[in-house]
Amino acid sequence: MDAVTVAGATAHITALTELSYELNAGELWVVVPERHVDTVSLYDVASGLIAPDRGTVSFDGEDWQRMGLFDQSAVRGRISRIFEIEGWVSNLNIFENIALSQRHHTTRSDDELREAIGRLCERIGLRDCLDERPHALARGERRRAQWVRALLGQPDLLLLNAPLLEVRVDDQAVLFELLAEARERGTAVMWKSRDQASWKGQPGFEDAEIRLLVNGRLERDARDGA
Amino acid sequence: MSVVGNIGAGFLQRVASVRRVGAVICGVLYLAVQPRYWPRTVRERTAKQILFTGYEALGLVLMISVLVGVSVVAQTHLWLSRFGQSDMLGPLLVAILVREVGPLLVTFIVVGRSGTAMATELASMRVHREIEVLDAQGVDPMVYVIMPRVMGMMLSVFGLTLMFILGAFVSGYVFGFIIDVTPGDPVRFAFSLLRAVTPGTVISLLVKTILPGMVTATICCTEGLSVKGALTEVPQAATRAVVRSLAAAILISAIVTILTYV
Repeated sequence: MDAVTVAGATAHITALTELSYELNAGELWVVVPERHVDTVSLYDVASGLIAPDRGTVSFDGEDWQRMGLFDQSAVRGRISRIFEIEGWVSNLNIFENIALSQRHHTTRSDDELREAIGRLCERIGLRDCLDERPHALARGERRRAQWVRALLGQPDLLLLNAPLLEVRVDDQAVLFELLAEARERGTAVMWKSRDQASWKGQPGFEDAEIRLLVNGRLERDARDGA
Repeated sequence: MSVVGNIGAGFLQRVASVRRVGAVICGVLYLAVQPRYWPRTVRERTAKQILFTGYEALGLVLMISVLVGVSVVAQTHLWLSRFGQSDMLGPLLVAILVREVGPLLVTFIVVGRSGTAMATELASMRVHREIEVLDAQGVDPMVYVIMPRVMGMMLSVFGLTLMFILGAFVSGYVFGFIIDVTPGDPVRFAFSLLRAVTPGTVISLLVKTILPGMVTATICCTEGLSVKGALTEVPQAATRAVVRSLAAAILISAIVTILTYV
C-alpha cells in the first residue's frame, strides 16, 4: 500500500489515513487494532475489494485499480483469509466451502482436493466434518476449518483476522506450525488480532513486524512485544 | 413533497430500477458468452438451478397443464364444432396456449416457486455477509451467484413451457376423447396444430419464455441482494421480488403480443 487513504462509511468507522506498507514473501506482520473502534477493513482494501480514495494498493507489483475484473478475481484466488465473524456460505457443506476457491480458480480434481483437505484436517484435528453444514460445527471447529481453507492451495498471501478466536489452547500449537511452514514456502502473512496474548512468544513470531492500527494509521509498537 | 413531486419521484425510482435490471442482464449476457467465466463451480451452480427451477417444478407444471388442457382444448373444440368452425381449432389453440397462456402461466409458476426462494436465499446471504465471503475468495458474485440463476431460470422457463404446451394438448385431446368430443384422430389433430405454428409463433414463444425468465430471475436476484443487513428486510425483499417479477412478466407478454399483431 502506498499512501492509501480511505474514508469511513459512517462516523463510527475510522478511515485509513496515508497508510503505507509493503509485505514481502514469507514475512509476518502482526496488526493490533485500536480497541473498540471499527476500522475500514484493512483486508478489504489490501485485497482490492475497497478502492482507496487516494494512493495505490498493489499485489505482486500490480495495482488493483489497473486490473480487469477477471484478473482481480483470479488474483484474489491467490489470497486466503480467515474471517473474524463466520466466513461461511451456509448452503454449502464444509468440504464445498473449503474447496470453493480452489475449484473455482484451479483445475485440481475433487479427489486431489479431498485428499489435501483430509491431510490438513487430520493435522488440525478435525474429523468427520467435511459433509456437515457450517452451522453443525462448534465455533472453535469452524475457526479451525477456516484455517484448513486458508492454507489449502499454498496461497501467496494470508490475511488472518482474529485467527485463534474460540480455538482451544491445546489446538493452537499445530496452527502455529502450519503457519511457519506456509511462510517457509513464501506465503506472506498478516495477522490481525486484538488479543496479543494469543500470539506473543509463539514460535515463528520472533521476526514478526508488529504494528498498531491507531486512527487509521499503522504505527510501530514501541513496546516490541514479540 | 407535493403530489406531483411524489409521482415524479416514484417514476424516477421505477426508471432507475428498470435500468438496474437492464444493466445486470447485459452484464450476465456479456459474461455468459465468455468461456473463461464458466469454471466448474459456475457450471455446477447452473445445473443445480435448472434442477431446482426446472426439473423439480416439472410435476407441478404438468399437473396444471393437464387441468388447463382439459378445460381449454376440449371446450374450444366443443364450441368451434357447434359453430361449424372446427378448422380453426389448431390456430386458436396455438394462439391461446402456445402464444399466451403457456409462457405466462409457466413464468408465474416459476416465479412463485423459485423466484421467492431465490430472493430469500440471496437476501439471507447478504444479511449473513456471505456475498463478501465469496468476493474475498475471488469468487465474483455476479459470476457465481447471479449468472447461474439467471441462465438457469431462463432455460427452465423455456423447457417447462414446452412441456406445459405438450401436456395441455395431450390431456385436452384425451379428455375430449373420454367425453366424446374428440377433434378427429390424433395424427390429424397434431398436424392441425403444427400447421398453425408459424415462424411468428416460434419467435413469440422464444421471446415470451427467454425474456421473462431472464428478467424475473434478475429482479429476484437484485431485490434479494438489495437488503442492507436486517433480517426483517428478507421477507420484504421476497415480496417485492415476486410482485415486480409478475408485473414484469405480464408487461413483457403484453408488449410482445402487441408487437406480434402490429
